[in-house]
Amino acid sequence: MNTTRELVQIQPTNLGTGVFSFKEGVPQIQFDIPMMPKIMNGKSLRISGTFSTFAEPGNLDANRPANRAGTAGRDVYIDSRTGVSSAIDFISIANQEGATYEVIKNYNRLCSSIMPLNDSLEDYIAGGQSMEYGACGKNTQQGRLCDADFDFSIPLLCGFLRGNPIDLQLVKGLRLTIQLAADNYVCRNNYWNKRAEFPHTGTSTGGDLGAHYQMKNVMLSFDAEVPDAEGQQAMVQNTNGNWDYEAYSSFYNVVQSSDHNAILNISKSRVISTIMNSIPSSFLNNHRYNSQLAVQFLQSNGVAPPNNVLSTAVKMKDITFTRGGLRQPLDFPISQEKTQAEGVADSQKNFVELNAIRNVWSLSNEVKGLRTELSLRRANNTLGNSKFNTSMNGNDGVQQYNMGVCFDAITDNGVSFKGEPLGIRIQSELTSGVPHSLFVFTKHKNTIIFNNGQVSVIN
Amino acid sequence: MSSGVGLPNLLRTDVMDRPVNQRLETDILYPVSSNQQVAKFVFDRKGILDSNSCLNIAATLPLLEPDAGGAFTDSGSSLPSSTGAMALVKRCFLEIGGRRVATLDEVGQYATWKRLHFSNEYREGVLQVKQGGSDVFTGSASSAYPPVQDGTIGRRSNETIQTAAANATATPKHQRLTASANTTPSWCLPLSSLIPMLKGFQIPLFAIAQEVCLVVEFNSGKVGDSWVATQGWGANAGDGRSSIVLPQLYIMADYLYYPDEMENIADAITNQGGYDLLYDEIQTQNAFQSAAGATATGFNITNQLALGGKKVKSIVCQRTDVATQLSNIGNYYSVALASTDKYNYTIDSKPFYSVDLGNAALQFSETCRIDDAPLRVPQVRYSKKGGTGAINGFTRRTFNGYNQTSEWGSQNWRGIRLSNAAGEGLRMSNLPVLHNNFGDMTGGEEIANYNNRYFITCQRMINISNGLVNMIE
Repeated sequence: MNTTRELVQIQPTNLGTGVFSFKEGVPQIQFDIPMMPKIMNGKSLRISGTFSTFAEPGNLDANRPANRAGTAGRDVYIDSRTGVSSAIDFISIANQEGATYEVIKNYNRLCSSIMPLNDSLEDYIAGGQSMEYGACGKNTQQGRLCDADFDFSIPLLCGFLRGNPIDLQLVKGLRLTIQLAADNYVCRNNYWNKRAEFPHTGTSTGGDLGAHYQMKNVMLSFDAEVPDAEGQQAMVQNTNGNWDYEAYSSFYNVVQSSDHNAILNISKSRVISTIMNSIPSSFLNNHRYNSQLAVQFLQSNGVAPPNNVLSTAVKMKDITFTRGGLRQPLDFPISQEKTQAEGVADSQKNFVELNAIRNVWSLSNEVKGLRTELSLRRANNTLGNSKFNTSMNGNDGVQQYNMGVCFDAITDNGVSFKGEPLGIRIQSELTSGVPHSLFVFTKHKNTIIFNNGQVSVIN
Repeated sequence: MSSGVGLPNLLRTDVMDRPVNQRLETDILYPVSSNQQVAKFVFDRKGILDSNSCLNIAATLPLLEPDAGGAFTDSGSSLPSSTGAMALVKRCFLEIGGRRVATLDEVGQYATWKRLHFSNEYREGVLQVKQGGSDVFTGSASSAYPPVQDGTIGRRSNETIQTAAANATATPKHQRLTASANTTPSWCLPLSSLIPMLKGFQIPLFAIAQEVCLVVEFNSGKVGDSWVATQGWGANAGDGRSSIVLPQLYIMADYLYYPDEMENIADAITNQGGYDLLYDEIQTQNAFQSAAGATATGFNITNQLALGGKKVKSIVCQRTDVATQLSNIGNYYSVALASTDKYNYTIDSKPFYSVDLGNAALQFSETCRIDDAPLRVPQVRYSKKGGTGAINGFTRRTFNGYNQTSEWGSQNWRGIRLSNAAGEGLRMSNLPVLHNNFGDMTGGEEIANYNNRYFITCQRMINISNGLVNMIE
């Protein structure tokens, strides 16, 4: 079958004034991709547009942030490791008849795990991440970027799109719905950095007056292979087929104790891995903190107000994964107690966690490093302090802490969790009164079956 | 005539299907003729030429008078920082039996584009060592001391032993061109970079009865073309011409032998119709764009690309200001406009994009699709969006005496992929391809004349049989 390349460009169905924003626009973007005899390259799908941040209500140039100048009260940052992806709260991919292929809630939190584990600082600075995702990898550079409009063209990291090419005729077209995250989730001032890491210089109050963001000129585009007339006719006539794809499901938990047990009924038959990240619940939707942080549990730095913030790491102990009550896939807890006490990197935890996202034997680039892992102040650290600070040339000293495990990296066909709940036990020295949000994502395989034009999804 | 038989993997750079006995011979191949304009190398008729064979090249630069006057001295000048030693070569072509089967014009410009695909790690560990240049950008600080993290990028700074005076970085000494052939550095250029046809193809020299030769034409030796001056010598740089060190000009030719397989390959080539080789040929085309006006104004240009009958895989467009050399980069750049311009291509009277591309990130993304690999370019090096002249995201720390802010928006290469998912090019009709580019020019952009240079990747095929090489397409 001869095919030619085409770039399909689609504007939002609910374009309205052309401005998408939580505060001063429409917080949902919907794209309708028609049913057509073309083959979509899902990996090439991009959501493009122009991203703007403002320090005050009103989308005026006078209300722009002044991060670079360091003007008090005008610092508005977005997360430097996920960029514009931090503004996507959930994504739904369905067909034009309403059958849902994938829904990812807390998509931004998923990105805060998988992007830094797949890209190094070099990728962020010089590898296209700063151009496509609007993610510079470093806070100060991200601040500079946020001072003015910048263009983005983000891929969507959904399993459905990242797998095999998609026959748009057979899937009966697609409807992508993107729900934007709240302004206080996406935008933040520099309070945490300045007060916690540079405690003597902080006067940050930016965002108190209503920092917000907006997207405009939004468009979806993707590569399509267009067959010749004969091929198109064959595609139109074909009503049967099936294919496997990977999808993420998301769960939410709140950790309040030093021995947290969660039982999740994920009810999927081919689960490949699970990945989790956590953040103090008080940081979420709070313009003083980065809601995209993926750090280990935190406690107060012990400083008197107003410099009192959660920035000291709580000592983590063991993480245990179970399936139907039995420890699986590891028959031992992932222990960090000793490494955390010694103030060194949690090698075992990092190894297992990375394996959940990618095959560690092909690992070559990631944000993780000693600078990110050992930079938080850790009360029980033998030094009692962070080991690295933010660096000009190296990574920011902000931790990248995930928890996760791969259930099946060999056959890639996954393990059944139908009727067998996933158990997660996290032991730490977390004290009460500091709840942490735990975002859990499972990657599993789905199968779509097309039978005489009827679509069914088996998971 | 085509045989319909593709290359066996002994003649490709792939992994072998099975273990095979192999022998490697490396010869130093000097040119049969050479001067400061051109050199011709003729390969021996033996073995299989490994495409990773390298051209060894060196250049000297005469002593120059400092701008401040005084005795002539070594200027500490170096190769263009984004191009390296590829800037010493203007044009290169491969001839078989007296016929030119592959040509690359504007070697330095094309190499600059290809170099954007390499990671910082590869540039630092391999490219800068073998080919020179300095294009690793990472987080940097302002020129103030103590260092201020003001969100800029630049060449690597020394953050631990910086003193008040040490806010400058410079090309390392071992990369600086000197006036003596004994001390000037020599470089190593892979043949597959000089002749893109050789990417993935090993020439079976033993089975080709005709003369196989490589012709290398050198660049002018002028500042900006072949080298760039450090600050303090800029005013007198026009007096200097770099010279190729001819005794150091040779090819380190690797000849591969597969004792158990050569006979089969020879048999296939001589008795069974031979092999077809599909390869990429890079064509270049230039279009002059005169100044848009005396004051800030809109512009709208349409350039025609005559590609009738060719199978085109991609088109890359580069825009240079004909009168401007950038410090440290020379003439090897593609300048972005302050307000992102839009473009579209019309192919067979139909616009390729249903909506003109005006989003810098989407333009970047489309350009990355050409090789299915991301360009390793920081946002501020690709686009000028979000910055202003003096405060543009690059550090004000200097490199070779020049403020690095001149790198802003200096690698705005934009391209379109026309090949399908299988890598098959698009057959062009006799109607010319139209490249329409429009937008606004401000801040002095409007008074400059531009050259739009197109690198067009065409799919071609040759057949190697009976010891002869025939062009099929």
